[in-house]
Amino acid sequence: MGEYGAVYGRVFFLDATKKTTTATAELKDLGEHEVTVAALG
Amino acid sequence: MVTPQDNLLVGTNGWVLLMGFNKGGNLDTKWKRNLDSGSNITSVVWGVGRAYGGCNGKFYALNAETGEVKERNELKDMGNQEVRMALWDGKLLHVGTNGWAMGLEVSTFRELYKKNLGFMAGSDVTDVLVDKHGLAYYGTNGKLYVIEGPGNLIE
Repeated sequence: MGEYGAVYGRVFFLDATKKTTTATAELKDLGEHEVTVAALG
Repeated sequence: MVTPQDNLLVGTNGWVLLMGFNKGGNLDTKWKRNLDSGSNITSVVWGVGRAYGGCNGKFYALNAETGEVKERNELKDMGNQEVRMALWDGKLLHVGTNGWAMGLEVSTFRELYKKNLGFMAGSDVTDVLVDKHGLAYYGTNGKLYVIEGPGNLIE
């Protein structure tokens, strides 16, 4: 269980139980621009 | 099968990506697709077996498994601005852009309604969400509109 977050060129997954960021992905070669995300959960 | 529960759709700078966790617990890119619509804010929405992406006044239906473009709509006469989308019941896709509201039947990509909210509100980013009853709420330029079913503007 957690939440996704995104900021200029990067996507994060935040674990709700650990209250910490557990995964980070850099959107390589796509620049540092606004990022939108869509997920269900 | 690709499902929204296991994957994340990402939009950025004219690209749509599908990301998911690998066995190591890190996020990997499964596919990425350039929308061929220029570089700008790119909105994404999950569909049934589809991923929808919108950018610069155009929107696309992609195969959620592969990222292949299945349908494309250029939102004719609606400008080249940011595109916002909301899907209702897997059947009706509401699209907001540049003071316009449009609804499409997902199975056929047929246009069900198209309304220029800009006549009343002006042209600007046009956000949309849909509630469980199928009412689509469009917001633009400080005003809120509600569209019911096939396109009746009720407020």
